Amino acid sequence: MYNPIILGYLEDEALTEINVSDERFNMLTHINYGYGEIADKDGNVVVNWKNTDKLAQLKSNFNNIKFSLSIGGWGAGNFSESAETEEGRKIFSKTAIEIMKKYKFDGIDVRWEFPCVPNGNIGCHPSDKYNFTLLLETIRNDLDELEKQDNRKYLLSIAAGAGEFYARCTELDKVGKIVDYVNILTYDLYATSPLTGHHCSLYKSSKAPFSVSGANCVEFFIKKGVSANKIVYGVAFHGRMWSGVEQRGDGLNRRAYGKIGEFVDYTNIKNDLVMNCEYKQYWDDEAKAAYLFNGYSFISYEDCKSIKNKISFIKDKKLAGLFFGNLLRDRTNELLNTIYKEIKE
Amino acid sequence: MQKPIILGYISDGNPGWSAEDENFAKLTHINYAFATLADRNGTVVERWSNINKLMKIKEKYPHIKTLFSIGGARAGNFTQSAETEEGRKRISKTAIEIMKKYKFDGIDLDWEFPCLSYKKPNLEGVDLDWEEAEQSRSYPGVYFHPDDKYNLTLLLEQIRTDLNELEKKDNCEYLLTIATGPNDFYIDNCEIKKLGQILDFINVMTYDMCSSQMDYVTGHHTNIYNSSRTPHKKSGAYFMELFMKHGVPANKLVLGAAFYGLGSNGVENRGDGLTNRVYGVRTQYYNYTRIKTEILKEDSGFKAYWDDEAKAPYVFNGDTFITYENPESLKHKVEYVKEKGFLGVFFWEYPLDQTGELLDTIYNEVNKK
Repeated sequence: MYNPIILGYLEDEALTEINVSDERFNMLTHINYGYGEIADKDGNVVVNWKNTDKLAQLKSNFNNIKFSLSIGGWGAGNFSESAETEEGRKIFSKTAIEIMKKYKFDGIDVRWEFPCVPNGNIGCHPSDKYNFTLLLETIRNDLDELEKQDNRKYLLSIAAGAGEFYARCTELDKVGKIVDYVNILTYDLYATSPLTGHHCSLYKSSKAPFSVSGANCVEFFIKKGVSANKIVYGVAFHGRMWSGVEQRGDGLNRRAYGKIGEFVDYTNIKNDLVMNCEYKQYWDDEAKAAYLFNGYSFISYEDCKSIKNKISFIKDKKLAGLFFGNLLRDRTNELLNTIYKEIKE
Repeated sequence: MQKPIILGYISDGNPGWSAEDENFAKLTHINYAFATLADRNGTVVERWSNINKLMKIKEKYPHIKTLFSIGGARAGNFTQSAETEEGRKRISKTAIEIMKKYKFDGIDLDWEFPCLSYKKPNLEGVDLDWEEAEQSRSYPGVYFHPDDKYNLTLLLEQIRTDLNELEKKDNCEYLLTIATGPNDFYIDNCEIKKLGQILDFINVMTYDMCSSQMDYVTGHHTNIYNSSRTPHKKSGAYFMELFMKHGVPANKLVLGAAFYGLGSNGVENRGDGLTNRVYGVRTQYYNYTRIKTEILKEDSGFKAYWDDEAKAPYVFNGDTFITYENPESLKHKVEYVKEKGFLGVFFWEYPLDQTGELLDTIYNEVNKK
């Protein structure tokens, strides 16, 4: 029976705001709770969470949800240095598993963004490519031991960069065999360029000069040896905004003289921009992507329609499921509702 | 076979050169940097204060062809100016006015770079480098458009047409050249074969090859050959042959050399420093004079190394790593140029080596039987 998962990343801080019996949690099958940090170059994983009591309540309220400890995230360092030695990898695994056990989680999610790439100002080294595999192997072995002991299953997953670069920076085929889920960050695909474009399009648009699309990434990962039933597709609860855009046509593929790729929550997009008659809504039917333009600001974003298209793609390819980054970015709830409805349909 | 040309860049703003310097005799070409585009409509302007010195050099050494360069690193307004026929005509007209005014022999266009950020159309990578990250980076004030690819050709055609007119009138030859980046994406981002037909020659900037903020391990910045120790495949030979493979004849390609080094500090202290992680400041500029007189001095604390595979020198003191060019690496560059029949060697830039030994090496190697 094919049951795509619905995974939400949840930061400890978010529990300050979200009620632990919020009905939205009923729609989730998995939560990656974050973030664990690597405190030093020796591999010691630590958490500095404030809402651990609420976390315990949340877990007991929704005991069908599988929880994983997510370690890392954007700009989180010390991966490269810790993974470099066998000792570091062992400490990483040991300390991560201790936290997992302490909070009665069901697995570990490694969010190294990204091996071999210093984006986010973190240490990196060409050997990351191989050390990443070794690190995951170490954690998997330790989890296997624990599984025997506890007579249950523990999950291991990663968050993966969307694109060719990630395949070059990791041993994707080996990694795909070790982990249970590969959560591909199929958004922010295009957000640092002074030319406007889709940041989370499912397909490539022939109008756009750049090539990265969600479908491309997924197919590329499969080609590189990751099986489809381990791939989790990332949808964006945020948009990217360019300002000072050349006032021509629909604003797509135009130079922006102002801010580039600014982060905007879906809540703001829906309530302040879509509802604003200055903005015209556009749909690129080739890319299956939504965008807004008012002659000055251009916003590329995810909407219900693009999510529907993504879910038919996910089902068509028999992918493991879908994930999103942060529940709080959509206070209208319509994105999660669409996800749930379309997945169940 | 014709002797390789020796082209030196001189920037107007660098005071470290004098019209009396006799080493200029060793150059065949000078590119004077930079004129810029003042607006989005194609107005080329110069704000030079040392141009009289250049005129004196030209008088003293009439064999030297002088060109002036428009653009340079992160110079803006190209994409907008080249977009319309009017803009292209204006670039050509205003550039030729400057050329005539200072009796230059030609125009060099340094548009860095057309279609920057334009991603390659497939996901199949070659090997590990961070070109993709590099491409999607934005430079403040520099814009681009996918149409740059075609507009660059149209712009150069316009200038060439206008120069041809002028050649008939003046009964002399005017050169048109460009400087290109050492990047695979440069090939995708321009109609390189057509450019090869329009232009007299192309200066391939085979330096700064590890200057990217994206490369957070140390590496070579102007190596002629690839090194199996460094993560990327970039090398002088790689890019020269890439341009050739894409239809530019060897006798129109000029290999780049650097009269400076790039240093990083806060480098992991292990081994000889090559391919170590960098936590400090990257790509600090060290001119060759300083490298020779301070860094390579015995008591400087630096140890000098040579990567015999890449034919590239570097120094390391446990914290600071500097990749640079020296006479030895230049010998290999000139040898390579002669062996493959490339047009010549150019370097950035003349005043950065007050010892004179780098130009001496190029000159001697070029003239070696």
